[in-house]
Amino acid sequence: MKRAQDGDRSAYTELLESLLPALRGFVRKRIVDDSLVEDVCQDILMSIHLARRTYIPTKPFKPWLFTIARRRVIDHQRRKYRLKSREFLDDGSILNLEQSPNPIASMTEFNRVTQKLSQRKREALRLVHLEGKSTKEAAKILGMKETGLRVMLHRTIKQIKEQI
Amino acid sequence: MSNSRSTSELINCLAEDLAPARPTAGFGKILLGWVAIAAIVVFAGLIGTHVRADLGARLTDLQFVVEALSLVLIGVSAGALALALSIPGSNWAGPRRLLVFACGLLLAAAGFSLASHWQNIAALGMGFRPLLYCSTAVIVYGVVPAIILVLALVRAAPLRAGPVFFLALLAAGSLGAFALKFSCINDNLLHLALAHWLPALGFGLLGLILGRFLMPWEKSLSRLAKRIEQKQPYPESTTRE
Repeated sequence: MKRAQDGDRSAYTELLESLLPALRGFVRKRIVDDSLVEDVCQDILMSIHLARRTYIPTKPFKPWLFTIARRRVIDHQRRKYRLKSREFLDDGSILNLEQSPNPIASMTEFNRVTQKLSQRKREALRLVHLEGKSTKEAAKILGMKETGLRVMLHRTIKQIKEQI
Repeated sequence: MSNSRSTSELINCLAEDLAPARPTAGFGKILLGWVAIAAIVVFAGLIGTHVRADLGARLTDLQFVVEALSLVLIGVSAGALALALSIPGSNWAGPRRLLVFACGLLLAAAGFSLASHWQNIAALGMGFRPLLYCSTAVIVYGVVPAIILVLALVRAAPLRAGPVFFLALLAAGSLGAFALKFSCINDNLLHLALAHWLPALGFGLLGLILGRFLMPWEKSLSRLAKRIEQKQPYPESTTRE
């Protein structure tokens, strides 16, 4: 780490690569969903990168490293909990389009559940829940405010839920 | 950075982004520097305004000394705890214990004062003007130490921005309340609680809100993610569908 602080890129690459297995183990113990482990590890690596100046070479490395890792894991869990608690963000899963292995089946399913909706609502759903665009991007495309789009999506999904 | 970029790619990007970084000074050095600057600011403020006429007599009063001491201890321990939480790997158990002890000491002093002067507790100085004057003075005395500490914290790694900035501003507010003890002649408990201690706590709560709102750490992370993405955009095949 001392060499990394001096700007030695190869030492830094070596250090981060050697830390990775330990970090994966640390995260895996705390996060049940295996698909998220890599994301959290990447978050931790970026945090290490940003916080590298706070490592004091005369002090032990492990407490420094695992304080950052623990904090990032906690942040991730909190974020996940917050997302879960927002009905709007969970609503999209009723269409189950993003997870579908067959895009054509998804499209058929999409058309089936949305045929009674207006063109605008269908377009909004398609952009956000099928194409995976952010609400900001989708709002720009549709020429409306982001908050307005969010409200519209929420109501639309509620409407679909009732129909289903 | 929730995406499909592989971790080894990210490591290469981070290595490319690497620039020499001078390690921060140790926790003790930063704390000592901050305490020294805060002391200078407080004394300069006292010289600039006025010191109470009965200070000599008050310094022999145990109640006064304990209150002043506990405010200094709250200031120093809260500042130390904020720094310890911002420098990963620092031991924060000591400052936390000291902070709990100092708060306990202040509450004990307040309890003693309440027990001995409960009849005339609301008698003095509860007008709006002294309240406003003292509240403002706490903030004025505390604002420079607060700015210095916040700058030091932002340069470190405030992974828990809310609590860290709460503690930083509480520390600065407590030092402001400590300074005010030497210029405000009103030692009535209710006045002290409402016009000295409550503004210090309010200053801390402002820090909590600012920390959560500004989220310097999260912003630095997203800036880094953007920088990396600009340097090496995602290949077409791995972008989100």
